[in-house]
Amino acid sequence: METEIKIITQNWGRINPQSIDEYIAAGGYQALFKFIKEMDPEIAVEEIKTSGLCGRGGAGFPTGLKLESVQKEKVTEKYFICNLDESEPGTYKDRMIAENDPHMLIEGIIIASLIVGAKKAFIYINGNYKKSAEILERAVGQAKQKVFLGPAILHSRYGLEIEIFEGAGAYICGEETALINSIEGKRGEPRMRPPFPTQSGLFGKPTAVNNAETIANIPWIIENGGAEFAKVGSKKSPGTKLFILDGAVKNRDVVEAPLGITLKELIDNYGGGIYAGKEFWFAQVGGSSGRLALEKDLEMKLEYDREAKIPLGSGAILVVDKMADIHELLLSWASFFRRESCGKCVPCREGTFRLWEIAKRLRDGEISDRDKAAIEDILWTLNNTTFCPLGKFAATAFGDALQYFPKEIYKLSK
Amino acid sequence: MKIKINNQEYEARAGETIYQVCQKNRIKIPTLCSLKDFHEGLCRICVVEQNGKLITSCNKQVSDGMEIATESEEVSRARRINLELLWSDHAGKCVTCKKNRKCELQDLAEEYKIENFHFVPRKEELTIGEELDLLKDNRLRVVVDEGNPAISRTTELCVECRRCINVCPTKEFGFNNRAGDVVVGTPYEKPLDCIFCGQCVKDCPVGAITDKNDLPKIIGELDDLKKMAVALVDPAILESVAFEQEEMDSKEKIVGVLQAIGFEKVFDLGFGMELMLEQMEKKIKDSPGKNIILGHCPSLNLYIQKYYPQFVENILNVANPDEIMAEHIKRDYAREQKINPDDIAVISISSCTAKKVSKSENLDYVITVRELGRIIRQKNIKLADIKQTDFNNELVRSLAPPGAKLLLNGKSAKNIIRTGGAAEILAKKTKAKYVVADGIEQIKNILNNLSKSRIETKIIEGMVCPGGCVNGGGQSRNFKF
Amino acid sequence: MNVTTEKILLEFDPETKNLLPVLKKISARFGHVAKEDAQKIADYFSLPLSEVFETASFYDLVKTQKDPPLVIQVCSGANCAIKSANRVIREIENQLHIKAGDMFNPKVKLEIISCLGQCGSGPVVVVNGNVFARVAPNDVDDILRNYV
Repeated sequence: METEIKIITQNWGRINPQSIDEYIAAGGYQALFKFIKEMDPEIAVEEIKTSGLCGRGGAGFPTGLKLESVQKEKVTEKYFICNLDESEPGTYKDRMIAENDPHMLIEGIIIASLIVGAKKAFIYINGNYKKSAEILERAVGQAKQKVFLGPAILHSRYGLEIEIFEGAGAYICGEETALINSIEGKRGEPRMRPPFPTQSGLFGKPTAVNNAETIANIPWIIENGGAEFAKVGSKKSPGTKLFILDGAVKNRDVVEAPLGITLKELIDNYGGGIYAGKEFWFAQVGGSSGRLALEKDLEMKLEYDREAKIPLGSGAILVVDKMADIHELLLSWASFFRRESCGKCVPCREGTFRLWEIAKRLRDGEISDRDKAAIEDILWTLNNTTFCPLGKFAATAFGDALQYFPKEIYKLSK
Repeated sequence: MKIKINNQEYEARAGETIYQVCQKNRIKIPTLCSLKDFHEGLCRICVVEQNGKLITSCNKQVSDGMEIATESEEVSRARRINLELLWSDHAGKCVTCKKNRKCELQDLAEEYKIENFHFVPRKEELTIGEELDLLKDNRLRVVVDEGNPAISRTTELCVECRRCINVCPTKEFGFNNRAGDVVVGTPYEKPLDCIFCGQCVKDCPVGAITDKNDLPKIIGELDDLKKMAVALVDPAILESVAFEQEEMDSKEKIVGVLQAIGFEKVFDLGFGMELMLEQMEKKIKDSPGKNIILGHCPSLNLYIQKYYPQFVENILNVANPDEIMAEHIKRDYAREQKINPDDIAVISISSCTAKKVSKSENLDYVITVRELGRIIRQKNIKLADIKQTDFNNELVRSLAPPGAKLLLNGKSAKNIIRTGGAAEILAKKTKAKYVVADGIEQIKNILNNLSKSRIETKIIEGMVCPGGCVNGGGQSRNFKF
Repeated sequence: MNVTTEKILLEFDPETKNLLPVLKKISARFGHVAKEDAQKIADYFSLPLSEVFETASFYDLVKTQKDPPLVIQVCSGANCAIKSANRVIREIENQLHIKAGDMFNPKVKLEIISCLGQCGSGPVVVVNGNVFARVAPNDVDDILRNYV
């Protein structure tokens, strides 16, 4: 384990996150120097494409391609947005990045912004992350003093300004088009695509929206080369990943592990195994919108792969033991989406509401045959007809649980 | 380009949506939210199938070689479930609803056979506690607004389609709150105090926004043998009545029906329009002022009062045609016919909802085409048996000023109901310059220019409803202007 | 110091990107965004009041109604849920004789909220903005004593 490579967490606990000098002494901002002195944006984007880096927010879209498509847009006004909204239940890895190594994130934002040609970048941070926002605000100030930010970064032709935008409590704003609406002062509702944000995003200008963890990888890639990064972890999606371990594991923490690791290895080697006296039942992978992994799925590789049976999502791993009350979980999922649907489209607004009502009846053991049929219809329409992926998210865990544990779920029913 | 719909090839242009191509070719696709230029894809009922995936047809643009199925097992399952989700809040409320039988949700629920809704428990299965919760919940969410003379609202029947939000020229409505708590309505639930153009009433697919009225009282007047009920028929409604009741396809038929439901006299409002124009012409000629704003669009008058009060003085103060005629009827006509004016009820059948708000001394009621439809349905008139009759014209004979060429061919009336018609006629007669604004954007534009003294003309006409009264907020819902 | 809505507005340029920050700030300062304040904001940003309210009512951290003096929020995310968050909720309900989600009590509101990103130390309870971590049903009495 010690020999394994650390990218995101290399400085955690070693340097004072509030000190830019300590970050520099640890080798920080070298990537920015290298980019400005030796690289063109076109070459840098090639490095990122070579690295195979893909989005760590959950969707796993290739980062190089996203940056490239904004880079290619021929307008002068463009935006870069760091998505630190992080509202997926069970997920707080981006908060840890901001609190433990804010400068690595800022260095990544600067480089990525310059790559796409943006002169203005936003950090959209979860409105509940007050402390993290303050840390980042201070870090941005320090970077300005060192001329890593401003109209002429390191006295080059590049200029950039970073603004920290605090969210106001809405899960859906983690979706990039909803996030953009939110900055524009609108309801955080997802937009129709096309046009994609890379063509017409914030204020109608080409915009790259990337997750904070994704961005934190960029300095390492620029410094060590895309080819080097591609050697780390899995072939399908190279690099490391922050996993948030919680539930019936000994070590409930954020850990960095190479992608391609199996769920079992992650739980045993990083989570310290299952908590004494508890027995593994299933694990939910990727937060409340994530699928359920059973005992037989423990050897499954955790990586970004469109075909994956269990998508990695945000990297949150909730290990559930056999003593857990499945009805409380069902109600928790259902009530979360019943609150967090934006309410725009019928199946999501009405479907999540009815599913929540039924989950309450399930908990109280008052479910009828009609409810059982209703659940099936609601999950189907959430999966197939909603405006944005939130509908699918709302149906995922609920659907899995019903499929895997019908006996436990319906045992109290009339 | 060519696209395939249900295995048949159709010609389509780039930029068109699947829904538009289907409409053009009379392939039916249901929707509860799409409207004119607004295709937000919210109701998820216009779904169609492409490569085994469901997509919304209203906002998906066509591409060359695209293959679409508008009906399939999946498509109808999606429509059925999403309709039922809306229906579960709605069911059981139809009988008392003003829009009963004229409701898009009800029609679709019937078409897709939404009968046994299973997303909510049956009433008899609820415990007392749950029922109390539901009541509380209802009180929390339902906003009822009866605070104005023209538009009734209740969110109880709302399907959150956003049509009213999209069509409202003054942005009175918003999509408030989130998720299951969404309420379409005014900010802070304040009572509607708008310019009452009624476009939201016309486009609401359900009974959430309806015409405010006193139909039982009106029907009472019609049935009262002692009362003489007089109808004023706005020429604008002739264009749309047939969309409300298809048998009413000619002027003569409409007059016949009005008589059948209890109107003793049926007059053409075109006559009042002519009289209004006369008064306007005289006032314009007598006025040395510039930039006179014609005051025959009540919504425009309200709009100027609210948003551009500095121009209230510019409004040409003339009573609307309905009131002009009502005054003649209650004064001269009543005297001539030896009828007590109190025994006359003058009811204007109009395409304008804002007229319900205008103060009138002699005009008793204003009803829209939709309300006329409801009276006819309520009275169970057999429309097919109605004889064709012409307007009563004793008013014209007795009151037309000597030598006036009134109602020679009804041309003026036909022009006035469209934006710019009145201004053009008046400009010709007074040999003056004029400008015309159609719809709120152009109106704003002209008033802003006026504020900056960038306009200097004699006559300004503005119509809040795009196209003019012919597209008024009181027209039939099915009438596509 | 006398902070007024006008003074807060003047800290921001009337660009749409400042609408949400303004709403948050006014809501935090005065407990909620009152109708009169919303109208001032609408005028300042040249937006219809309906659009200001749409945005304000969408976000959890902007209130359009004044909260009662005591607001208790409990996270019920899956991570907190498997750590007995719901037993904590029931304990609070029993002690204060209220129901979660009830909007009618003028003195106290018990709200179920979404994840605060403190999952490592769940279940999380927030009382009038103060965060309590790893709350067990037994702790409820101690926590509430300082507020009731």
